[in-house]
Amino acid sequence: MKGRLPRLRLRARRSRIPTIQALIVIFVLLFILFLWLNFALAQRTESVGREIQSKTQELESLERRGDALRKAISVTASQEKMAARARALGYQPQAPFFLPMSEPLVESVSEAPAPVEQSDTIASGDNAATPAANKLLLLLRGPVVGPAFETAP
Amino acid sequence: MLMGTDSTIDRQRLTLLAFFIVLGITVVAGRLIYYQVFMHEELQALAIGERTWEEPIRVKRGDISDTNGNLLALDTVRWNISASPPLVMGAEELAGQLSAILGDPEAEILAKLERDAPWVFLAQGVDYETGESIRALEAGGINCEAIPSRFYPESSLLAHLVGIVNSTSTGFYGVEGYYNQILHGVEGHKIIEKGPGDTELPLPAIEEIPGKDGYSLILTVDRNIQYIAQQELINALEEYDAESGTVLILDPQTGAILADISYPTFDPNDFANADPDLLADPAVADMWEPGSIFKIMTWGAALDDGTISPGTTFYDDGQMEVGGRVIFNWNRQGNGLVTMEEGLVKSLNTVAAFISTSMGKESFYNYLRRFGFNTLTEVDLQSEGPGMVKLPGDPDWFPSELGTNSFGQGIAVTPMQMIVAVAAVANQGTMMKPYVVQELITTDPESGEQQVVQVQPMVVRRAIGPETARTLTDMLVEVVERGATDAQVPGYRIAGKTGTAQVPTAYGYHESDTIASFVGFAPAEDPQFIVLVKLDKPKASPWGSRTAAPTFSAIAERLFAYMQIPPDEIRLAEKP
Repeated sequence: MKGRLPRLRLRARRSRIPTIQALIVIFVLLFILFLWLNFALAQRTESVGREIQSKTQELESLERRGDALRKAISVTASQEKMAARARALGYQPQAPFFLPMSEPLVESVSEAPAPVEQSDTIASGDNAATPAANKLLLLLRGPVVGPAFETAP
Repeated sequence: MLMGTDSTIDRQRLTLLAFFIVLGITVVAGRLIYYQVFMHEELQALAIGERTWEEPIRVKRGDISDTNGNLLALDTVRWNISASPPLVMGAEELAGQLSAILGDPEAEILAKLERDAPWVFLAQGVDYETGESIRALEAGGINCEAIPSRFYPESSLLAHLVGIVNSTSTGFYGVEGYYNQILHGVEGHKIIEKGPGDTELPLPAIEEIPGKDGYSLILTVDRNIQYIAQQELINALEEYDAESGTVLILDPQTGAILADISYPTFDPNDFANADPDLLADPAVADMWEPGSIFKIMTWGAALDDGTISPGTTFYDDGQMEVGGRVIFNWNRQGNGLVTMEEGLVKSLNTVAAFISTSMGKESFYNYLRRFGFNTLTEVDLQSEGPGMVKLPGDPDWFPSELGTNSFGQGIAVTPMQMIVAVAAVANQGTMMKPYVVQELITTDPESGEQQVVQVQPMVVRRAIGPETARTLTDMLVEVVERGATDAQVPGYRIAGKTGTAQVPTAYGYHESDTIASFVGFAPAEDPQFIVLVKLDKPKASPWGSRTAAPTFSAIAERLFAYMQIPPDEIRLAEKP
């Protein structure tokens, strides 16, 4: 009796071993799969992170460039610079001329007189004998011979 | 028997082994529980602190533009360049490259790169191009830090009005100071993980609170009008040899400030080297005894409370005693029987004193309060002063003040207070709150949509009735047409008043120094602008009528042209 019992137990243990081995193999495989997935995800995250960092730096660089360009434009367009440049080019400030007209300002487009060109002739007042002379007002700016910011002599 | 003994020994050994294993596992598990449960937060904080870094998310300070969208203040970038000498490789070659970019001697840079120090400054506040060139070298051990910097493209043109921003992005004076919090925005921060060498790991931030950029501001000021005012003020200072001066231009119907210029001034891009006394805007911060332009208030108050009418007469013998003090006219001469209108045209101090004493102190000072004196105008510019008017009941008020105050002596006002008070006359008696910001613009960070907040003109109170304002305006037109003729612009009706104030000193008034001023609005029946000119200590002539009045005329002439206001003959004929 005593000699048989261990043999029976051994047989029972042997029958369980494949199941345990299979489970261990599956567990190890799953573990490897998990590690691989984790590694792959980490790699992807790192790659995307680097890309984001690079794009962020690029964006910051572009913003800095934009700011620098805005600064350059604002300096070039500053009042003092524009006035000096205009004077250097020989531009003269010009006052507007207010010409009296013979009829009220037209109400409809069809009745409107032909648009008056901004020319030296009108600006100097030589065109006063136009049909539209007298009573009513047409507000004209003088010929564009000076920068807008200096409108009086 | 033997087998039984062996088995017992094995079992005892196994039990002992199991005990130690269980004990070991228990100890390890106990420690794990101790660290993971009881010490969890402390250790986690320690671990996070070791590998993370809190970094501020910088936000952009808002731009400031004039009413036409021209930039007056914007954020730009400057660079601080530093080096960590222990990390620098190839110092000699790098020194040559940096020298070519920075323009500093190569030997000097090399000495810094080889210094036995963990960190050295190479250059501070270099411009955009220089910083980018150094960054492009990608040299190890060289650090380029971008720092925001405020830039003012118009430099001194709007220095007082716009104000300044210091190195910590805090605004002072003018608009920058008044709207500092709104312009600054709200800084955010993020917690990031850092690797060895303090390099940011390419991982999402552990925590991120985004910042909010500051509002951009659109001002009521027109750069072109400001330029006109600047040009004419400089001309006046040169022509009349004046020490300093201020020109203020407002739209009297809304209170919008169109121009605000004072000289001497400073360059806000280099304010660190400017005289600190020049930084505050004299138009709101400086007080002066206004002199005769203050008579507008006296006449307005008396007309409104019915004490006088334009035709009321007064016999002027050249002097009048009030509270024990004798008041003289500017030329110490009498004019006989004069009407109130003539009194204003000839700017007679005796008539002014007659009016204020006839009104009585309660009514006179009540009207000064209604015109906004002794209180802030609450203009949206930093460092505004309230002026100074002594009131009956104050320990330093004497009965003679009622006479002297009537022609602008013994009181102190700011140019802003003065122009706002006269603007009420131009605006049919209604006083408007002066303002300089007309729009606040922000961008919603989530939707990206632009949100605009419009600032509406605000009525403060009615200073005088509309009928009184019209009567007073007609009288002020007479002042320009018969008295201050140098203020005229052919073709336009202008209402205004000159002022020549003595300069108070510790021992009374200065013998010769004066402050010449003129305040006027036009066109008189439909005012589009009001201009205050103040010239301090002009040497060519002490009189406002000879210095400030022609300066007003020069400005007004250019404003008529710029604002396309036709002459009266054409403009009034146009109306049915």
